[in-house]
Amino acid sequence: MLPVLYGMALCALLMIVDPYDLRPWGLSPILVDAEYPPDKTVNLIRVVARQPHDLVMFGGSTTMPFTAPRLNAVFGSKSAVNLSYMAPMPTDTAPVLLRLVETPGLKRLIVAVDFSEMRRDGDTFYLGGSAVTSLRAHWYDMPDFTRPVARASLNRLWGRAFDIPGWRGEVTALVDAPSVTTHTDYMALLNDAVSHPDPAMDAQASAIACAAYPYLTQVLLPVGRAALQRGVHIDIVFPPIPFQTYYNWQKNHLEFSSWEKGAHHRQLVGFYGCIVKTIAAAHLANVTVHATDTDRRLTDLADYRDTVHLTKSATLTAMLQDIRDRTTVVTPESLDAFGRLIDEGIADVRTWRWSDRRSSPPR
Amino acid sequence: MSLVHPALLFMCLPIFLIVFAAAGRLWGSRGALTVLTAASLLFGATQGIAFLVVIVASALVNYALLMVIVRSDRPASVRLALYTGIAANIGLLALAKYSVWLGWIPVIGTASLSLAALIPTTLSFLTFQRSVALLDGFSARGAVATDLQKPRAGEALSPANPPLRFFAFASMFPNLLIGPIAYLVEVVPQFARSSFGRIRPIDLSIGLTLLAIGLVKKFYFADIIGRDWVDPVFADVAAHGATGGLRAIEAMVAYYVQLYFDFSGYSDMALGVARMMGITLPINFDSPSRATGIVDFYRRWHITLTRVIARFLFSPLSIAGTRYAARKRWRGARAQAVSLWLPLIVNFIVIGLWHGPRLTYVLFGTIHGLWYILETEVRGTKWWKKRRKTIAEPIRMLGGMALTIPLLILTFALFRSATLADFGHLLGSLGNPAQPGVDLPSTWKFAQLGLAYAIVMFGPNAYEMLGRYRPGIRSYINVSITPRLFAFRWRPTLFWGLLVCAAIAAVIGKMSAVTPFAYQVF
Repeated sequence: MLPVLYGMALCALLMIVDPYDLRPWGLSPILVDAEYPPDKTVNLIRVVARQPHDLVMFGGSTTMPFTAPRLNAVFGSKSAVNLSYMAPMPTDTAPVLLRLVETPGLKRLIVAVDFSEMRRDGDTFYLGGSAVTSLRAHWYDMPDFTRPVARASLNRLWGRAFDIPGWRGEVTALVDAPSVTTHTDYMALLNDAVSHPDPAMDAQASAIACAAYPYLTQVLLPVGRAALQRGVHIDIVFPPIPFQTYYNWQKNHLEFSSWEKGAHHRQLVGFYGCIVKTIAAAHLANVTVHATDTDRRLTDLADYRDTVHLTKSATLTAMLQDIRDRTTVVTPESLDAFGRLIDEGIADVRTWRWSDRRSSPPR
Repeated sequence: MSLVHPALLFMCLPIFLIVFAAAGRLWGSRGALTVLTAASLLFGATQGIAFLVVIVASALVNYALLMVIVRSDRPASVRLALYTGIAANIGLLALAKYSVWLGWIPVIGTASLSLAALIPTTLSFLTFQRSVALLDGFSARGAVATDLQKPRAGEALSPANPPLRFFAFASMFPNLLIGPIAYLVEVVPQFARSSFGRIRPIDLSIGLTLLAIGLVKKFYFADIIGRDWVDPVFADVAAHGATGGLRAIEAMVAYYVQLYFDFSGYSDMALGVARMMGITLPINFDSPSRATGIVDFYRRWHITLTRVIARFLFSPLSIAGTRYAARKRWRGARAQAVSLWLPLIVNFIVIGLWHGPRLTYVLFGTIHGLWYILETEVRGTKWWKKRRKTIAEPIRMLGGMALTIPLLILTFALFRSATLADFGHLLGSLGNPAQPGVDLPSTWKFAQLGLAYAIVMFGPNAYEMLGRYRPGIRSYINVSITPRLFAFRWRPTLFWGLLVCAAIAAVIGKMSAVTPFAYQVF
């Protein structure tokens, strides 16, 4: 009977504390700068949306390293929170953002958009699925029925924050992690992709109508309008990527998106262009688009922990400053220039070779 | 909410059992039945208010009609009540379940679409259970009337007995959603037993063991096999029209055991939870994955549906066909066609359609029906009867399994496919080259699938293990084909107690993500 009693105790504790705010009762959750592993983050959306936060960041793995203190320091906000998790797709992004826009006291919503939002088949990554499940959960659903969550809930029961050792480590480990240049496997992969590029790199992308992207109709427009009504400013951010990575995407199988034939980067730029044009057409004056991927300071491979994820602390801050200072804003008028900048960046690294970089001093 | 929700298992169920036992002690069987009915309605409410309203209204209608059936002296009224009840039940089920096919009919289509949107939970099992209760009442009027009314030893006769017993039976939460489909004559007499309303340690032990077995089947086999082997491949086929050849084979082979673990896991849990209250439900699975033929398979797979359809559809059709053939003085194949083949085909198409409005289900049922006919005919030939005596039983069994299992794997892949085109694409993929790094999952995953197959092929099923404690009602007596070496027998000992504890402890870590049961949508 011991496991049954253990299960009963676990159940009782979680029902009392209600760490994910799934029930009409429970203790008011105390979060620690919302620095939680992604599998917890997806369950904290309801919690965050009911507490006052003046700045909320949402995006994929590229924006996961931004901690609340860093966001507060750059934007001057008081209670920022970052709810990014891996590979959000339109099906889960829509309910998540519609909920987050209702956050009391929200002034600024920073939304990172990358290729996973190009998804057109209605699918979700497992974390996105969990986010949707959590948002729709009934009082009797228990995504919180795990030992770590119970331990964190015990802390909350004693008046402390909902936290256990190790959780914050998962987020802080994303900052100033060893550079990708120290990983020979990644570097060999990139070297091969750049030195022997896929012929499709230079091919025109298949023309995809903007209307084909669910992100625009299911996420951007409803969220933009809801934010406009509530006086919330939205910053749409195209996160930076090392230009070598575009070659890797083209050459090696890239999941999480709906790619057509032709150059992937052109499809991505086309999708980004659709976002910019849709915002203009809908007169969403509260939405600004930031193409941080055009800031060359942010695309140095040495600042990344792998082929996609920025890790150097100073560069992370620089990216936020770009958003704050509006230095990379893209509008319908500057769309062509934006596309050219990406093309030039990709062309510039065509002569890049790993052996060249190995001889350079480590950063 | 379903039986795998932690909130139900670790909070609602213990509270329910305490209140149930207290009510049984204080107010006898009627107290216990009242608590059971109330808990079942609360359980139904977690599926949505529309679901609750529909099941309560349906129970009221069925009860009223059952009373007419068992109490009326006029045969015409009895028949009218029966036909009205069956039509109402089947009509409700059709409206809720077949909106895809009914959508074009002006008023009915709108009603059907609205009902389907309001009630996403399946009504199939409870509708069948209630329909069968009416048929039970019709075919055994005296016995049913007595079962509903007979007081428990030491209790006075009460007019509250029939409605209480019927409502408790018709809405009993362990088998409300996904069966097993019980007969009224199997369950209601148990309410009149002197032990009903008491929680006995042996019932609790058996119930917990069945529950633990079901939970392990669901969380450690069905969910993992589905996630790692089956779902991605069928999704791939649906999205791209093809997949790797090896992946297609792996998915088909894996789905065969995934579905068994998923559905039989729920049945084990339902029997377990009911047993904790001292109620024995019918067994639904009896090691079907190692059936030696299609006839054998249907004596072991989803037994409670098979027997309902056989009793109330196949048998009347077959009798009518036999009479017709006799009247026409038909013999040979013509007589066989109307008395056996046609009823069998109808029987299996209905079984297929029962799962939903899909052509894949119709084809699945048709193939199984034809297979059943072929096997029945072959087994009936003089050639087979003569050969049968010359082949040793183990060889015959192994041969039967070797013929049956691959065909079952193939037809269950059809069952799993959303459309006939998807199934065609899956079959078409069998010849595709393997995709390195995608087609071959890790050794650990292979070991997991291998273990799942080892269990279904060689392990004893829950009811064999618990056999001496009569864990469930047997509908068919099947020969056990569990190798003697693995024929473990459960006993209420410390060893088995620790094993059950370990199983529950292991499952607790996996219960935060509840995936729906495959049969929840049928």
